[in-house]
Amino acid sequence: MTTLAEEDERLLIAAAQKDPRRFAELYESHFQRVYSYVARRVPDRAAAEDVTADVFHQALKNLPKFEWRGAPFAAWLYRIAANAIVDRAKKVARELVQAAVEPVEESHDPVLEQCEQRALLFRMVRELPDDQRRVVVQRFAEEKSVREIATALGRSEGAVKQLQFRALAALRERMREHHG
Amino acid sequence: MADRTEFGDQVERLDLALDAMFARRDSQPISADADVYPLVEVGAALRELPREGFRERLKAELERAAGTAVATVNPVRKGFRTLTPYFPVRDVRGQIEFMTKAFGAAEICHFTAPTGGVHAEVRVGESMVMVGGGPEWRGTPMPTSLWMYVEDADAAYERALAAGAKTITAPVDQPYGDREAGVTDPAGNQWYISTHKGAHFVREGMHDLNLYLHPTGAAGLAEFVQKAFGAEVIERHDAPDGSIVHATMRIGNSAMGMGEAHGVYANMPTMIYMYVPDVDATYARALAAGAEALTPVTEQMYCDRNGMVQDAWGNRWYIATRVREP
Repeated sequence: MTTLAEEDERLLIAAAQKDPRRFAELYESHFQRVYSYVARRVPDRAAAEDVTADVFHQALKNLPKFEWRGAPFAAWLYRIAANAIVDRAKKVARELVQAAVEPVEESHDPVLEQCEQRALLFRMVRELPDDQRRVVVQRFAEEKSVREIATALGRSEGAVKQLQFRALAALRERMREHHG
Repeated sequence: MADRTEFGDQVERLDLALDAMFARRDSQPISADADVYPLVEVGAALRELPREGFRERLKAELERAAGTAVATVNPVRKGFRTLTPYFPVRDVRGQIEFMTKAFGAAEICHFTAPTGGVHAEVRVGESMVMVGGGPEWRGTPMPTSLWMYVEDADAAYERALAAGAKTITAPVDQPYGDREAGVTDPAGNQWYISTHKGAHFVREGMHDLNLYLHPTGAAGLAEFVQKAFGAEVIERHDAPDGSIVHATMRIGNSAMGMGEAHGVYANMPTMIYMYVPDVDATYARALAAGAEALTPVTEQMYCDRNGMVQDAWGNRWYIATRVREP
């Protein structure tokens, strides 16, 4: 895992509690998992971004109240996220949230496990060769068609499909390696 | 050639399966041929991939918010100055009662911890005093001495005696322009009660309530507070032997008096709550200047980040920075 070791994180939190400008480092190491957690329940991308932004703004504001009592920082963020999702669902009453949102307490929760997996996968996307990464981001995050991507990148559709294939194969392989 | 064709075929079938997946609203993988299915699964997970730019945009937004948060918290708690005398006493109620009767003090807040320890904050004139301890408290009381300016030193002196204080000196006009008396309160704190004979009853550069330390070896303490806390000497009168008869120091926006211990004004190690812009830096500087660490710097639930050091004269400095507002 690329998450910070517990002790490092403890120090990072203490530093950010003292100086909120240090919060960016915590944000960097937790962005993917929070986004993934939110995106699973809020399928609309723009709304997922709004909720994610809300979670981190709340975390920044309430960071001084965070106390390390055995529960990792990620669990605290998940709890803020769970509440933010419920709040949003209340606002958009007609739209039911995909999964019932339970208070987040346990780190072996299968849903959270899956979020961790997704977060790992998203980090791996950042490590792909440039042309593969661009195709993946445009295809999956921006939901563009192969034709649109081909035009944007000045490549043939066949080339884009090949990059897409190689990227997914590489990600699949790295995830497998990661799980031994 | 056969391999290339097979590869081309896989690439096409994967793309078709992904198109079918995008056509569905949920993020569950759809059926696909066994050889491309694992890749479609990866593709399904990637549907939750954040958009490029969002991560950076939010980061910039948070950094702006954090910058604002830093700027809006004043490191000195509202209503307080750099230095606040802290009275550790057993009889917290009695101490507050004395200050109320003698000097018109007003209790601002009073907490009792689950362990029985008490912390109270009292306004005296335009200054604050902290009183802590209580009957359950096991520490050692640390009486101190205060240099106080009031409108009418004679009247305050009389009220102090009526409230249970013992006299040290009756009011007398001093050559330095103050009418001044001295009393010891029931807990053993010494109060210089003064009225300045000038435009205002508070001497210029002083507040109405100031600490006054009587260390044995005041010159050394003066040097320590300069090194550790960046104190400035406002005035200093030395005896021929080099010891300090009287000095006024400025620390942050507070003033503090000190003079060599003599007679009834013996060395009384004092507890002081001190607000500084950066508690960690000041704490480190105090240790470098020779102070001993008593409690490490920790963020407290009452919105201060603080730690305690003791100087070589036994004074305890609670060094604090306000880090947020409740």
